[in-house]
Amino acid sequence: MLNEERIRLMTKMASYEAREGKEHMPIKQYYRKDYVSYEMIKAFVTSTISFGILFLCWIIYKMDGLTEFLEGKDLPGLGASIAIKYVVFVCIYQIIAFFVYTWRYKKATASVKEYYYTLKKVEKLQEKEERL
Amino acid sequence: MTGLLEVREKLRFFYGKYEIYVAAAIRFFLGIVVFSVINSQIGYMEQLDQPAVVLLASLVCAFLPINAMVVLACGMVLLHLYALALEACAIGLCVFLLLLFMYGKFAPKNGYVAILTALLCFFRVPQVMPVATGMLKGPSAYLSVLCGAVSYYYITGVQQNLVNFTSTEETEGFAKFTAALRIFTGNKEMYLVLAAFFITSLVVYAIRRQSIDYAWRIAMFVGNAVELVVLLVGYLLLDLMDKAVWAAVGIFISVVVSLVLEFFLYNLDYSRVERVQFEDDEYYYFVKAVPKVFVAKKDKKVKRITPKKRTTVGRRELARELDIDQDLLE
Repeated sequence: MLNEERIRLMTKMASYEAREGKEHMPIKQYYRKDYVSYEMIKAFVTSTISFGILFLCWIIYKMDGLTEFLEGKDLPGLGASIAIKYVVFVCIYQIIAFFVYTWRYKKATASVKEYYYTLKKVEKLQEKEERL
Repeated sequence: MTGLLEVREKLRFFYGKYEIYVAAAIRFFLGIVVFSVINSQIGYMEQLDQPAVVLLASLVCAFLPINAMVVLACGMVLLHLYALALEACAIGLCVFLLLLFMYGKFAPKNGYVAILTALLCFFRVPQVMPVATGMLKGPSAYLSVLCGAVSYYYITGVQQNLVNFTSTEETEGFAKFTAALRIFTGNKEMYLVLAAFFITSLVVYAIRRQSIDYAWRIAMFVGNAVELVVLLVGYLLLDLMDKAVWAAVGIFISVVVSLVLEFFLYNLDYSRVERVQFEDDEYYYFVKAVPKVFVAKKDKKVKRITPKKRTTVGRRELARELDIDQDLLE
């Protein structure tokens, strides 16, 4: 005979697997540290590319008066100031990435925990049915 | 009120039942509006500025996730800009790449927010978006609002400086690039709007997360008030008073939309708040439970108006059924 409670829980689980689970379950394959570090490495690459694009735009913007701009400038000093800006940019990006991905991991942990709790319930119901 | 609640339940039921079709229809109509606006604003490439292209692109978007519309809209804008000037297209590509990195990394599931922000900017009432994102999403959703707003300011910037991109003098050097970049460097209004949106979405998010009665309503009104003040002061300082009027109109619409969102998504009955306290091995829990306002489905009662058909059995039939003599029934 069909157990309505078990079917309800299984439908809930299937719906979770098809929606949030698709995003949350792969996250839970990692430890928190590994996941956040991996995402921060990816953020480092994108932040470097973003800074490169911004730097390129700045050069183009200054192109017409670039020779006058560079005239009499301390080039190593200019290079150092650009490097500092790059480091600050990447750091800000990394801090945002750290908070966002830590929060995402926390959210995924809570939802996957709920999923496994439902799974346990289903298993218990199934055992009970088999005993009967 | 009860009537409205019934309508809400009916709408929810309808959406739940036909979710796939409703979502596809929404994406299709949104696509038509988005691509039509792009064509009407910067329709420089004649091949793309056709109703058939708009319909086709919208149809494709109807069957794909919303992010497909974001990508298609960006592609369409870049193609139009390419038809205008390569430089405008190149800078547009850089801007979209920067936004894509930000959007893709931190707010990848907020395609509707990005699209609607840009669209409402064209209708001059984007003020609703930061309040709505603060109410419905997390703080990272602000980045999608930023993406939409920046895209809008770039497109309108190109329109306003059209003469810089259409000139054909050879001696210009990097003038077209500079003109494209100056859209961002010299646009104080854009920074004002982005700052106002940022503050608003953070204020709304921070308040609505509080465990206070009527959190959403307080968040909504405070957020709209903060946004209005920041925008009005900013426009006053920038001497853009004509924009201030539109900002006020936008805030009014924002309040209305926020109330509708609250009604549909966060309608709580604070008169029946329950406070419970319990413990487990590790924690003490102080729980405040606020019931949602809803109307129970009306039970359908079928009242029979026409009387039951009377069946009359004759003496002969009854006698035959009982297998007795007909005269005995007299």
